[in-house]
Amino acid sequence: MSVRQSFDHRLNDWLDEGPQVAPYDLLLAVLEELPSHHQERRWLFGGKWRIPMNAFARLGLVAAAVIAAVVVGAVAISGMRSGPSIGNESTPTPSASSTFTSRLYPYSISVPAGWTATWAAARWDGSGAPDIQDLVNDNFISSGTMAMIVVAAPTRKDLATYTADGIAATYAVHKDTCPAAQNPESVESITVGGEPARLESINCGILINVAYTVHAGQGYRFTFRDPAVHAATNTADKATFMALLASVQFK
Amino acid sequence: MDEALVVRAQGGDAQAFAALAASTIDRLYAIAYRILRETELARDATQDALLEAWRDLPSLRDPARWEAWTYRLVVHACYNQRRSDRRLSAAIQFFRVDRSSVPDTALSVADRDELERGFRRLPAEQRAVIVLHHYQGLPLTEVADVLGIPAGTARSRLHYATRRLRAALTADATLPATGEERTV
Repeated sequence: MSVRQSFDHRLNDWLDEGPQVAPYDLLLAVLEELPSHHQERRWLFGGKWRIPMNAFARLGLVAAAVIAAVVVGAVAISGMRSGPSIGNESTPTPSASSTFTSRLYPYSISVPAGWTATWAAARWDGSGAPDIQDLVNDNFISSGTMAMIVVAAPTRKDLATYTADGIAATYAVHKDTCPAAQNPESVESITVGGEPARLESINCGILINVAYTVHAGQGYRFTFRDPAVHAATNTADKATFMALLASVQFK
Repeated sequence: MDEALVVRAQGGDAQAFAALAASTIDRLYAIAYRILRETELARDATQDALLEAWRDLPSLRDPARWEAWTYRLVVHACYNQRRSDRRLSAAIQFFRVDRSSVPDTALSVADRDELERGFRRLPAEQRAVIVLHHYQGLPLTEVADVLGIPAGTARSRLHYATRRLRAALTADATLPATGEERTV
């Protein structure tokens, strides 16, 4: 091996040694920040896409933009009353809850004031146990540390089997970071949107509560997480989770 | 890369952007870590780069260039982190390799230690060329394109960075500690 090859090999080996994967919560941190960062439309107001124009034409465009902004603003304000989302679309009103209707899964839910909701970008296939960074989730993020993710997929299982398989999937997927998922601290009967359901409580170092229910051939998985609570249960968290689940309406 | 996702995100579709970010974030973090050599700074640089990507996405003319464009954003975010974090310059003086955290590879402990020391003495601009070329595997012409610099400048940065790292490995401490660069 030549001196140059030897050096390049050592350099490449050394560079390969660092982390290859971003911290688990980094994507979520980015997505939580999106609503406060507006996209810049440079083709209108400068930058690489600037359109050459004389002063008169520019004045006309500014006037048109002002009118458009007033119209868009009015639409946005009225839209804020209809449902939550992220990005340039409407966001929840700070003073009242709003109804979130899932785009991919047959349910709607009442989102508390101050929470941010995002639609799933892809449909869940019913396998595994999605984490908060998965794209198949409808995500509900509080202004504090609580968050809930929801997925659903067709199933022929009854509730008992669906729950047992869900618990096993949680352990199979997350056993490295949450060995406690093998034996949940409790599994109790609850209701979700009036349907019988089961609630699994796990202490993964953070609070993880998973509610399972089956309705009209769909199996639903509601996962509530709170990294600020280092236990399987917490009174305030449970009250919040139960309130969210009680507001679910299946379709 | 699904160019349709880029187009949707350019139109303000946050879910499309979430999908793009999810598919890119590991690569950006890996690049940022290798340039900055600090996990917290790499985290901040990656976050800044993705938020910048969201804000400036409408200015990206060619959706097929999404990946290269995000490399440029994360490199510039690393430059900003280097400028704003003055602890790094002090850290160069007192750096020691945490041997409990490094894997057992063919690389000797001494090599690893000297490479780390030598790399941390490089200006961020030279680090970026090393990482994009040697770690990310980009040809120098593409490195230049990503960084928005002439190809000759990329070659020059790689030359001086490599020379300094070789010197570090051979314990040749006679080279100056600041960047020398020939712009072409």
